[in-house]
Amino acid sequence: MPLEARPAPARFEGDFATWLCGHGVPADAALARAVAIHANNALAAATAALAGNYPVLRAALGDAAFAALARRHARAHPPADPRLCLYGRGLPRLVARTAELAAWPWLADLARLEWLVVEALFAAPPPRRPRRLHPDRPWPLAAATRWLASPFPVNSLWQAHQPGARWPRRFPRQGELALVSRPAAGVVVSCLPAAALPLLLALRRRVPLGHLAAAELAHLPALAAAGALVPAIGDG
Amino acid sequence: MGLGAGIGLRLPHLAALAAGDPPAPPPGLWFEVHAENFMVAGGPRLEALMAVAARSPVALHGVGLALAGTCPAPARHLGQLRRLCDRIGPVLLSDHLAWQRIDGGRWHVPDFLPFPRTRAALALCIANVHRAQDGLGRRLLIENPSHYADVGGHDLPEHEFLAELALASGCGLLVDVNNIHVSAHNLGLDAGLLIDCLPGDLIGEIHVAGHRADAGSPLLIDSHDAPVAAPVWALAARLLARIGPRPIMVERDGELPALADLLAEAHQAAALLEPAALLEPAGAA
Repeated sequence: MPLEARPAPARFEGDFATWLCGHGVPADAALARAVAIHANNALAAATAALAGNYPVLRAALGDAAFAALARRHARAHPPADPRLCLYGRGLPRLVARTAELAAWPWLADLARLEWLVVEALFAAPPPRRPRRLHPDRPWPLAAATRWLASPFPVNSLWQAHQPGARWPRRFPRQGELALVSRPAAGVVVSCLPAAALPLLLALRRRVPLGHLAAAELAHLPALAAAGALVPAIGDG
Repeated sequence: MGLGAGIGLRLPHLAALAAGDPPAPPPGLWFEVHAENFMVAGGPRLEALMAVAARSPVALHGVGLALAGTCPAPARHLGQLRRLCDRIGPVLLSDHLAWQRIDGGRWHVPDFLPFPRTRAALALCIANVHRAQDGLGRRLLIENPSHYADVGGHDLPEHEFLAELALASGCGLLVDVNNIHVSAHNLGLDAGLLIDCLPGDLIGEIHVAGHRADAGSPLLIDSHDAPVAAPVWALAARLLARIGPRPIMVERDGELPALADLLAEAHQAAALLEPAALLEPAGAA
Protein backbone atom coordinates (compact mmCIF):
# COMPACT_ATOMS: atom_id res chain seq x y z
CA MET A 1 0.00 0.00 0.00
CA PRO A 2 1.71 3.25 -1.08
CA LEU A 3 1.40 6.46 0.90
CA GLU A 4 0.04 9.69 -0.53
CA ALA A 5 2.66 12.34 -1.32
CA ARG A 6 1.40 14.67 1.46
CA PRO A 7 -1.04 12.65 3.56
CA ALA A 8 -3.22 14.44 6.08
CA PRO A 9 -2.23 13.41 9.64
CA ALA A 10 -5.43 11.44 10.18
CA ARG A 11 -5.01 9.59 6.87
CA PHE A 12 -1.40 8.72 7.66
CA GLU A 13 -2.30 7.53 11.15
CA GLY A 14 -5.05 5.35 9.73
CA ASP A 15 -2.70 3.68 7.25
CA PHE A 16 0.04 3.22 9.84
CA ALA A 17 -2.39 1.81 12.38
CA THR A 18 -3.59 -0.71 9.83
CA TRP A 19 -0.02 -1.85 9.30
CA LEU A 20 0.71 -1.96 13.03
CA CYS A 21 -2.27 -4.24 13.50
CA GLY A 22 -0.84 -6.55 10.86
CA HIS A 23 -3.50 -5.80 8.26
CA GLY A 24 -1.60 -5.07 5.08
CA VAL A 25 2.02 -4.17 4.56
CA PRO A 26 3.54 -0.96 3.22
CA ALA A 27 4.88 -1.29 -0.31
CA ASP A 28 8.24 0.09 0.75
CA ALA A 29 10.42 -2.62 2.35
CA ALA A 30 12.25 -0.17 4.62
CA LEU A 31 8.97 1.22 5.86
CA ALA A 32 7.68 -2.31 6.39
CA ARG A 33 10.70 -3.07 8.59
CA ALA A 34 10.16 0.16 10.53
CA VAL A 35 6.52 -0.76 11.13
CA ALA A 36 7.63 -4.19 12.36
CA ILE A 37 10.10 -2.57 14.78
CA HIS A 38 7.44 -0.24 16.20
CA ALA A 39 4.98 -3.14 16.50
CA ASN A 40 7.59 -5.20 18.31
CA ASN A 41 8.51 -2.30 20.61
CA ALA A 42 4.86 -1.84 21.52
CA LEU A 43 4.30 -5.54 22.13
CA ALA A 44 7.49 -5.82 24.19
CA ALA A 45 6.51 -2.85 26.38
CA ALA A 46 3.03 -4.26 27.00
CA THR A 47 4.24 -7.77 27.80
CA ALA A 48 7.00 -6.42 30.06
CA ALA A 49 4.35 -4.47 31.96
CA LEU A 50 2.28 -7.64 32.39
CA ALA A 51 5.35 -9.49 33.65
CA GLY A 52 5.94 -6.72 36.15
CA ASN A 53 2.36 -6.75 37.36
CA TYR A 54 1.98 -10.54 37.52
CA PRO A 55 5.22 -11.92 38.98
CA VAL A 56 3.49 -14.78 40.79
CA LEU A 57 1.55 -15.91 37.74
CA ARG A 58 4.79 -15.72 35.78
CA ALA A 59 6.58 -17.84 38.38
CA ALA A 60 3.73 -20.34 38.41
CA LEU A 61 3.57 -20.69 34.62
CA GLY A 62 7.25 -20.34 33.80
CA ASP A 63 8.73 -17.61 31.63
CA ALA A 64 7.92 -19.13 28.23
CA ALA A 65 4.27 -19.91 28.97
CA PHE A 66 3.74 -16.56 30.63
CA ALA A 67 5.30 -14.75 27.67
CA ALA A 68 2.95 -16.54 25.27
CA LEU A 69 -0.05 -15.71 27.45
CA ALA A 70 1.07 -12.07 27.79
CA ARG A 71 1.48 -11.71 24.02
CA ARG A 72 -1.99 -13.17 23.48
CA HIS A 73 -3.45 -10.69 25.96
CA ALA A 74 -1.52 -7.70 24.62
CA ARG A 75 -2.71 -8.41 21.07
CA ALA A 76 -6.34 -8.88 22.10
CA HIS A 77 -6.42 -6.09 24.68
CA PRO A 78 -3.61 -3.60 24.04
CA PRO A 79 -3.08 -0.87 26.62
CA ALA A 80 -5.43 2.10 26.44
CA ASP A 81 -3.64 4.02 29.19
CA PRO A 82 0.04 5.01 29.00
CA ARG A 83 0.34 4.17 32.69
CA LEU A 84 1.56 0.64 32.07
CA CYS A 85 1.95 0.09 35.82
CA LEU A 86 -1.86 -0.21 35.73
CA TYR A 87 -2.05 -2.40 32.61
CA GLY A 88 -3.41 -5.92 32.66
CA ARG A 89 -6.67 -5.86 34.58
CA GLY A 90 -8.19 -8.31 32.12
CA LEU A 91 -5.44 -10.93 32.24
CA PRO A 92 -7.21 -13.11 34.87
CA ARG A 93 -10.18 -13.44 32.50
CA LEU A 94 -7.88 -14.68 29.77
CA VAL A 95 -6.32 -17.17 32.19
CA ALA A 96 -9.80 -18.45 33.08
CA ARG A 97 -10.75 -18.81 29.40
CA THR A 98 -7.53 -20.41 28.17
CA ALA A 99 -8.23 -24.05 27.46
CA GLU A 100 -4.58 -25.07 27.80
CA LEU A 101 -4.64 -23.90 31.44
CA ALA A 102 -7.85 -25.69 32.41
CA ALA A 103 -5.89 -28.34 34.31
CA TRP A 104 -4.77 -25.64 36.77
CA PRO A 105 -8.10 -24.06 37.70
CA TRP A 106 -6.64 -22.02 40.59
CA LEU A 107 -4.45 -19.95 38.26
CA ALA A 108 -7.23 -17.49 37.40
CA ASP A 109 -7.81 -16.70 41.08
CA LEU A 110 -4.07 -16.40 41.64
CA ALA A 111 -4.04 -13.83 38.83
CA ARG A 112 -7.06 -12.05 40.32
CA LEU A 113 -5.23 -11.80 43.63
CA GLU A 114 -2.17 -10.37 41.90
CA TRP A 115 -4.26 -7.70 40.25
CA LEU A 116 -5.68 -6.74 43.65
CA VAL A 117 -2.09 -6.34 44.86
CA VAL A 118 -1.44 -3.93 41.96
CA GLU A 119 -4.55 -1.93 42.83
CA ALA A 120 -3.55 -1.80 46.49
CA LEU A 121 -0.01 -0.70 45.63
CA PHE A 122 -1.24 2.44 43.88
CA ALA A 123 -4.33 3.26 45.95
CA ALA A 124 -4.72 6.54 47.79
CA PRO A 125 -3.11 6.82 51.22
CA PRO A 126 -5.33 6.77 54.30
CA PRO A 127 -6.43 10.13 55.71
CA ARG A 128 -3.84 11.84 57.90
CA ARG A 129 -6.27 12.54 60.73
CA PRO A 130 -7.52 9.45 62.59
CA ARG A 131 -11.24 8.90 62.48
CA ARG A 132 -13.23 9.04 65.70
CA LEU A 133 -15.35 5.90 65.88
CA HIS A 134 -19.06 6.19 66.55
CA PRO A 135 -21.79 3.52 66.58
CA ASP A 136 -23.91 5.52 64.13
CA ARG A 137 -21.14 5.75 61.57
CA PRO A 138 -19.29 3.14 59.53
CA TRP A 139 -15.60 2.41 59.99
CA PRO A 140 -14.36 2.88 56.43
CA LEU A 141 -12.12 0.44 54.69
CA ALA A 142 -8.73 1.85 53.71
CA ALA A 143 -8.56 2.76 50.02
CA ALA A 144 -5.97 0.04 49.43
CA THR A 145 -8.01 -2.77 50.98
CA ARG A 146 -9.10 -5.60 48.70
CA TRP A 147 -10.04 -9.23 49.23
CA LEU A 148 -10.67 -12.38 47.28
CA ALA A 149 -12.80 -15.26 48.45
CA SER A 150 -11.64 -18.24 46.43
CA PRO A 151 -12.57 -21.91 46.35
CA PHE A 152 -8.80 -22.50 46.11
CA PRO A 153 -6.06 -21.88 48.72
CA VAL A 154 -5.15 -18.72 46.88
CA ASN A 155 -3.33 -17.04 49.77
CA SER A 156 -1.17 -20.11 50.37
CA LEU A 157 -0.36 -20.34 46.67
CA TRP A 158 0.56 -16.65 46.53
CA GLN A 159 2.77 -16.90 49.62
CA ALA A 160 4.54 -19.97 48.27
CA HIS A 161 5.59 -18.05 45.15
CA GLN A 162 7.13 -15.12 47.01
CA PRO A 163 10.91 -14.66 46.75
CA GLY A 164 12.63 -16.75 49.38
CA ALA A 165 9.43 -18.51 50.47
CA ARG A 166 9.55 -22.16 51.47
CA TRP A 167 7.39 -24.44 49.38
CA PRO A 168 4.82 -26.07 51.70
CA ARG A 169 4.68 -29.85 52.05
CA ARG A 170 1.05 -29.63 51.06
CA PHE A 171 -1.42 -26.86 50.32
CA PRO A 172 -4.70 -26.54 52.23
CA ARG A 173 -7.52 -28.51 50.64
CA GLN A 174 -10.12 -25.80 51.25
CA GLY A 175 -10.61 -22.37 49.77
CA GLU A 176 -9.20 -19.25 51.37
CA LEU A 177 -10.26 -15.67 51.96
CA ALA A 178 -7.24 -13.58 51.00
CA LEU A 179 -6.98 -10.05 52.36
CA VAL A 180 -4.85 -7.45 50.57
CA SER A 181 -3.94 -4.43 52.67
CA ARG A 182 -1.29 -1.74 52.85
CA PRO A 183 -0.65 -1.22 56.54
CA ALA A 184 2.52 0.86 56.16
CA ALA A 185 5.02 1.13 53.36
CA GLY A 186 4.10 -2.02 51.48
CA VAL A 187 1.25 -4.25 50.37
CA VAL A 188 0.56 -7.31 52.50
CA VAL A 189 -1.43 -10.39 51.56
CA SER A 190 -2.82 -12.38 54.45
CA CYS A 191 -5.47 -14.98 55.13
CA LEU A 192 -8.70 -14.31 56.99
CA PRO A 193 -11.16 -16.89 58.29
CA ALA A 194 -14.02 -17.38 55.86
CA ALA A 195 -16.36 -16.11 58.58
CA ALA A 196 -14.83 -12.61 58.15
CA LEU A 197 -16.37 -12.21 54.70
CA PRO A 198 -19.77 -10.91 55.94
CA LEU A 199 -17.93 -8.20 57.89
CA LEU A 200 -15.93 -7.14 54.81
CA LEU A 201 -19.12 -6.98 52.75
CA ALA A 202 -20.88 -4.97 55.47
CA LEU A 203 -17.98 -2.52 55.68
CA ARG A 204 -18.04 -2.13 51.91
CA ARG A 205 -21.76 -1.30 52.20
CA ARG A 206 -20.78 1.27 54.87
CA VAL A 207 -22.97 -0.34 57.52
CA PRO A 208 -22.69 1.69 60.79
CA LEU A 209 -20.65 0.03 63.52
CA GLY A 210 -23.67 -0.18 65.79
CA HIS A 211 -25.55 -2.24 63.21
CA LEU A 212 -22.89 -4.93 62.86
CA ALA A 213 -23.67 -8.35 64.33
CA ALA A 214 -21.55 -9.62 67.19
CA ALA A 215 -20.10 -12.33 64.95
CA GLU A 216 -19.04 -9.64 62.50
CA LEU A 217 -17.59 -7.36 65.16
CA ALA A 218 -15.39 -10.20 66.34
CA HIS A 219 -13.28 -9.85 63.19
CA LEU A 220 -12.80 -6.08 63.40
CA PRO A 221 -9.58 -6.24 65.48
CA ALA A 222 -7.93 -8.48 62.89
CA LEU A 223 -8.87 -6.10 60.10
CA ALA A 224 -7.62 -3.08 62.04
CA ALA A 225 -4.35 -4.85 62.86
CA ALA A 226 -3.87 -5.68 59.17
CA GLY A 227 -4.28 -2.02 58.24
CA ALA A 228 -7.42 -2.78 56.26
CA LEU A 229 -9.38 0.03 57.93
CA VAL A 230 -8.69 3.74 58.00
CA PRO A 231 -6.83 4.72 61.18
CA ALA A 232 -9.20 5.51 64.01
CA ILE A 233 -8.87 6.77 67.55
CA GLY A 234 -9.03 3.83 69.86
CA ASP A 235 -8.55 1.20 67.17
CA GLY A 236 -5.30 -0.08 68.66
CA MET B 1 24.37 24.75 41.79
CA GLY B 2 22.50 24.31 38.52
CA LEU B 3 21.58 21.05 36.88
CA GLY B 4 24.60 19.12 35.68
CA ALA B 5 24.53 15.46 34.72
CA GLY B 6 21.57 13.29 35.63
CA ILE B 7 20.49 9.69 35.38
CA GLY B 8 17.22 8.06 34.52
CA LEU B 9 15.89 6.84 37.86
CA ARG B 10 14.29 3.46 37.37
CA LEU B 11 12.31 1.44 39.88
CA PRO B 12 15.10 -0.98 40.97
CA HIS B 13 17.15 2.01 42.17
CA LEU B 14 14.30 4.01 43.64
CA ALA B 15 14.34 2.60 47.18
CA ALA B 16 18.11 3.09 47.54
CA LEU B 17 17.94 6.71 46.42
CA ALA B 18 14.88 7.39 48.57
CA ALA B 19 16.90 6.22 51.57
CA GLY B 20 19.82 8.57 50.96
CA ASP B 21 22.11 10.32 48.51
CA PRO B 22 24.48 8.15 46.47
CA PRO B 23 28.18 8.28 47.31
CA ALA B 24 30.41 10.55 45.21
CA PRO B 25 27.73 11.98 42.92
CA PRO B 26 28.76 14.01 39.88
CA PRO B 27 28.33 17.79 40.25
CA GLY B 28 24.76 18.94 39.80
CA LEU B 29 23.36 15.39 39.88
CA TRP B 30 19.66 15.17 39.09
CA PHE B 31 17.20 12.41 38.38
CA GLU B 32 14.60 11.88 35.69
CA VAL B 33 11.68 9.47 35.96
CA HIS B 34 9.00 8.34 33.57
CA ALA B 35 6.03 10.35 34.78
CA GLU B 36 3.43 7.69 34.02
CA ASN B 37 4.98 5.30 36.56
CA PHE B 38 4.02 7.74 39.30
CA MET B 39 0.69 9.14 38.10
CA VAL B 40 -1.20 7.20 40.74
CA ALA B 41 -3.28 8.03 43.79
CA GLY B 42 -0.64 7.06 46.32
CA GLY B 43 1.50 4.25 47.64
CA PRO B 44 5.11 3.49 48.44
CA ARG B 45 6.42 4.13 44.94
CA LEU B 46 5.08 7.67 44.85
CA GLU B 47 6.23 8.29 48.42
CA ALA B 48 9.74 7.14 47.53
CA LEU B 49 9.86 9.55 44.60
CA MET B 50 8.67 12.37 46.82
CA ALA B 51 11.48 11.50 49.26
CA VAL B 52 14.02 11.74 46.42
CA ALA B 53 12.49 15.01 45.19
CA ALA B 54 12.71 16.49 48.67
CA ARG B 55 16.52 16.19 48.49
CA SER B 56 17.44 16.27 44.82
CA PRO B 57 16.23 17.86 41.58
CA VAL B 58 13.79 15.54 39.79
CA ALA B 59 12.63 15.89 36.17
CA LEU B 60 9.51 14.25 34.78
CA HIS B 61 9.74 12.63 31.35
CA GLY B 62 6.34 11.75 29.97
CA VAL B 63 5.69 8.96 27.52
CA GLY B 64 1.98 9.48 26.99
CA LEU B 65 1.05 12.93 25.72
CA ALA B 66 0.97 11.84 22.06
CA LEU B 67 1.73 15.42 21.03
CA ALA B 68 1.96 14.75 17.29
CA GLY B 69 -1.30 12.87 17.04
CA THR B 70 -4.82 13.64 15.94
CA CYS B 71 -5.92 12.05 19.22
CA PRO B 72 -3.70 13.57 21.93
CA ALA B 73 -3.81 12.59 25.58
CA PRO B 74 -7.23 13.15 27.18
CA ALA B 75 -7.83 15.85 29.77
CA ARG B 76 -7.89 13.20 32.49
CA HIS B 77 -4.29 12.27 31.66
CA LEU B 78 -3.23 15.90 31.71
CA GLY B 79 -4.89 16.30 35.10
CA GLN B 80 -3.04 13.29 36.50
CA LEU B 81 0.25 14.64 35.19
CA ARG B 82 -0.47 18.07 36.62
CA ARG B 83 -1.19 16.58 40.04
CA LEU B 84 2.13 14.73 39.90
CA CYS B 85 3.91 17.96 38.93
CA ASP B 86 2.30 19.70 41.89
CA ARG B 87 3.56 16.95 44.20
CA ILE B 88 7.09 16.65 42.82
CA GLY B 89 7.90 20.14 41.57
CA PRO B 90 9.87 18.91 38.55
CA VAL B 91 12.89 20.91 37.42
CA LEU B 92 12.15 19.86 33.82
CA LEU B 93 9.07 18.39 32.15
CA SER B 94 9.26 16.69 28.78
CA ASP B 95 7.56 14.35 26.33
CA HIS B 96 8.04 13.15 22.78
CA LEU B 97 7.35 14.33 19.26
CA ALA B 98 5.22 11.36 18.29
CA TRP B 99 1.69 10.06 17.93
CA GLN B 100 0.53 7.05 19.91
CA ARG B 101 -3.23 6.75 20.18
CA ILE B 102 -5.19 4.54 17.81
CA ASP B 103 -8.87 3.88 17.37
CA GLY B 104 -9.98 6.90 19.35
CA GLY B 105 -7.60 6.12 22.18
CA ARG B 106 -8.66 2.50 22.66
CA TRP B 107 -5.02 1.55 21.96
CA HIS B 108 -2.27 3.68 23.43
CA VAL B 109 0.79 2.39 21.57
CA PRO B 110 3.66 2.32 24.09
CA ASP B 111 6.16 3.52 21.50
CA PHE B 112 6.79 6.73 19.56
CA LEU B 113 5.32 6.58 16.08
CA PRO B 114 6.63 8.57 13.10
CA PHE B 115 4.70 10.91 10.84
CA PRO B 116 5.29 13.09 7.78
CA ARG B 117 6.48 16.51 8.92
CA THR B 118 3.93 18.44 6.91
CA ARG B 119 2.63 21.93 7.59
CA ALA B 120 -0.63 20.32 8.69
CA ALA B 121 1.24 18.12 11.16
CA LEU B 122 3.11 21.15 12.48
CA ALA B 123 -0.16 23.00 13.09
CA LEU B 124 -1.51 19.91 14.88
CA CYS B 125 1.60 19.65 17.07
CA ILE B 126 1.50 23.36 17.92
CA ALA B 127 -2.14 23.06 18.98
CA ASN B 128 -1.43 19.93 21.02
CA VAL B 129 1.58 21.46 22.79
CA HIS B 130 -0.38 24.63 23.55
CA ARG B 131 -3.20 22.53 25.00
CA ALA B 132 -0.82 20.41 27.06
CA GLN B 133 1.13 23.38 28.41
CA ASP B 134 -2.10 25.19 29.27
CA GLY B 135 -3.44 22.09 31.03
CA LEU B 136 -0.20 21.48 32.90
CA GLY B 137 0.56 25.10 33.67
CA ARG B 138 4.17 24.43 32.73
CA ARG B 139 6.53 24.64 29.80
CA LEU B 140 7.28 21.40 28.04
CA LEU B 141 10.48 20.21 26.42
CA ILE B 142 9.82 18.15 23.29
CA GLU B 143 12.13 15.26 22.39
CA ASN B 144 13.22 14.45 18.86
CA PRO B 145 12.29 10.88 17.89
CA SER B 146 14.28 7.93 16.57
CA HIS B 147 13.59 6.97 12.96
CA TYR B 148 13.74 3.49 11.47
CA ALA B 149 12.67 4.56 7.97
CA ASP B 150 11.83 7.75 6.20
CA VAL B 151 8.04 7.82 6.03
CA GLY B 152 8.32 10.54 3.36
CA GLY B 153 5.93 13.34 2.54
CA HIS B 154 7.77 15.95 4.59
CA ASP B 155 7.47 19.69 4.13
CA LEU B 156 10.18 20.44 6.69
CA PRO B 157 13.41 18.85 7.89
CA GLU B 158 13.24 17.79 11.50
CA HIS B 159 15.33 20.63 12.94
CA GLU B 160 13.14 23.23 11.23
CA PHE B 161 9.98 21.44 12.34
CA LEU B 162 11.21 21.43 15.95
CA ALA B 163 12.31 25.05 15.81
CA GLU B 164 8.97 26.22 14.40
CA LEU B 165 7.11 24.13 16.95
CA ALA B 166 9.11 25.64 19.81
CA LEU B 167 8.83 29.22 18.59
CA ALA B 168 5.09 28.96 17.95
CA SER B 169 4.16 27.11 21.13
CA GLY B 170 6.72 28.42 23.59
CA CYS B 171 8.00 24.92 24.37
CA GLY B 172 11.69 24.05 24.53
CA LEU B 173 13.56 21.12 23.04
CA LEU B 174 14.99 17.99 24.58
CA VAL B 175 17.67 16.73 22.23
CA ASP B 176 18.22 12.99 22.46
CA VAL B 177 21.64 12.59 20.90
CA ASN B 178 21.29 8.82 20.71
CA ASN B 179 18.10 9.28 18.68
CA ILE B 180 20.02 11.46 16.25
CA HIS B 181 22.80 8.89 15.97
CA VAL B 182 20.31 6.06 15.44
CA SER B 183 18.22 8.03 12.94
CA ALA B 184 21.26 9.19 10.97
CA HIS B 185 22.52 5.61 10.72
CA ASN B 186 19.11 4.26 9.73
CA LEU B 187 18.32 6.96 7.17
CA GLY B 188 21.82 7.37 5.77
CA LEU B 189 22.24 10.93 7.04
CA ASP B 190 25.19 12.82 8.52
CA ALA B 191 24.68 12.83 12.30
CA GLY B 192 27.14 15.66 12.81
CA LEU B 193 25.25 17.84 10.36
CA LEU B 194 21.95 17.03 12.10
CA ILE B 195 23.51 18.05 15.41
CA ASP B 196 24.88 21.27 13.93
CA CYS B 197 21.45 22.27 12.54
CA LEU B 198 19.65 22.11 15.88
CA PRO B 199 18.51 25.49 17.24
CA GLY B 200 20.77 25.84 20.28
CA ASP B 201 18.84 28.61 22.01
CA LEU B 202 15.77 26.40 22.24
CA ILE B 203 17.50 23.36 23.75
CA GLY B 204 16.74 22.87 27.43
CA GLU B 205 17.93 19.31 28.00
CA ILE B 206 20.07 16.62 26.41
CA HIS B 207 19.70 12.84 26.61
CA VAL B 208 22.40 10.30 25.89
CA ALA B 209 21.59 6.60 25.77
CA GLY B 210 22.62 3.25 24.36
CA HIS B 211 21.34 1.38 21.34
CA ARG B 212 21.71 -2.02 19.71
CA ALA B 213 21.75 -3.53 16.25
CA ASP B 214 18.47 -4.86 14.88
CA ALA B 215 18.49 -8.63 14.55
CA GLY B 216 16.62 -8.57 11.25
CA SER B 217 18.19 -5.69 9.35
CA PRO B 218 21.16 -3.30 9.27
CA LEU B 219 19.17 -0.83 11.39
CA LEU B 220 20.03 0.42 14.85
CA ILE B 221 17.35 0.22 17.53
CA ASP B 222 16.92 2.95 20.16
CA SER B 223 16.84 0.35 22.90
CA HIS B 224 18.29 2.12 25.98
CA ASP B 225 19.66 -1.24 27.11
CA ALA B 226 23.39 -0.66 26.71
CA PRO B 227 26.01 1.86 27.81
CA VAL B 228 26.23 5.08 25.83
CA ALA B 229 28.25 4.40 22.67
CA ALA B 230 31.39 6.37 21.79
CA PRO B 231 29.85 8.09 18.73
CA VAL B 232 26.96 9.31 20.89
CA TRP B 233 29.37 10.76 23.45
CA ALA B 234 31.21 12.51 20.62
CA LEU B 235 27.99 13.97 19.20
CA ALA B 236 26.96 15.19 22.66
CA ALA B 237 30.35 16.86 23.09
CA ARG B 238 29.99 18.49 19.69
CA LEU B 239 26.54 19.83 20.54
CA LEU B 240 27.59 21.12 23.96
CA ALA B 241 30.68 22.80 22.53
CA ARG B 242 28.41 24.77 20.21
CA ILE B 243 25.53 25.65 22.53
CA GLY B 244 27.19 25.69 25.96
CA PRO B 245 26.31 23.66 29.03
CA ARG B 246 22.85 22.15 29.36
CA PRO B 247 21.39 19.57 31.74
CA ILE B 248 22.44 16.21 30.32
CA MET B 249 20.97 12.86 31.32
CA VAL B 250 22.07 9.24 30.91
CA GLU B 251 18.94 7.33 29.93
CA ARG B 252 18.91 3.60 30.60
CA ASP B 253 15.79 1.42 30.64
CA GLY B 254 16.81 -2.17 29.87
CA GLU B 255 19.59 -4.42 31.21
CA LEU B 256 19.75 -1.95 34.07
CA PRO B 257 23.24 -1.88 35.63
CA ALA B 258 24.14 -1.20 39.24
CA LEU B 259 23.55 2.35 40.39
CA ALA B 260 27.33 2.88 40.68
CA ASP B 261 27.76 2.02 36.98
CA LEU B 262 25.05 4.48 35.97
CA LEU B 263 26.65 7.15 38.11
CA ALA B 264 29.98 6.45 36.42
CA GLU B 265 28.30 7.27 33.09
CA ALA B 266 26.84 10.39 34.68
CA HIS B 267 30.38 11.42 35.67
CA GLN B 268 31.36 10.95 32.03
CA ALA B 269 28.45 13.19 31.02
CA ALA B 270 29.38 15.76 33.66
CA ALA B 271 32.89 15.93 32.21
CA LEU B 272 31.36 17.17 28.95
CA LEU B 273 30.05 20.19 30.81
CA GLU B 274 33.49 21.23 32.05
CA PRO B 275 35.00 24.30 30.36
CA ALA B 276 37.88 22.32 28.90
CA ALA B 277 35.54 19.87 27.23
CA LEU B 278 33.30 22.65 25.93
CA LEU B 279 36.29 24.43 24.38
CA GLU B 280 37.77 21.34 22.76
CA PRO B 281 35.39 18.37 22.64
CA ALA B 282 37.20 15.06 22.33
CA GLY B 283 36.21 13.05 19.30
CA ALA B 284 34.21 15.83 17.70
CA ALA B 285 34.39 15.66 13.96
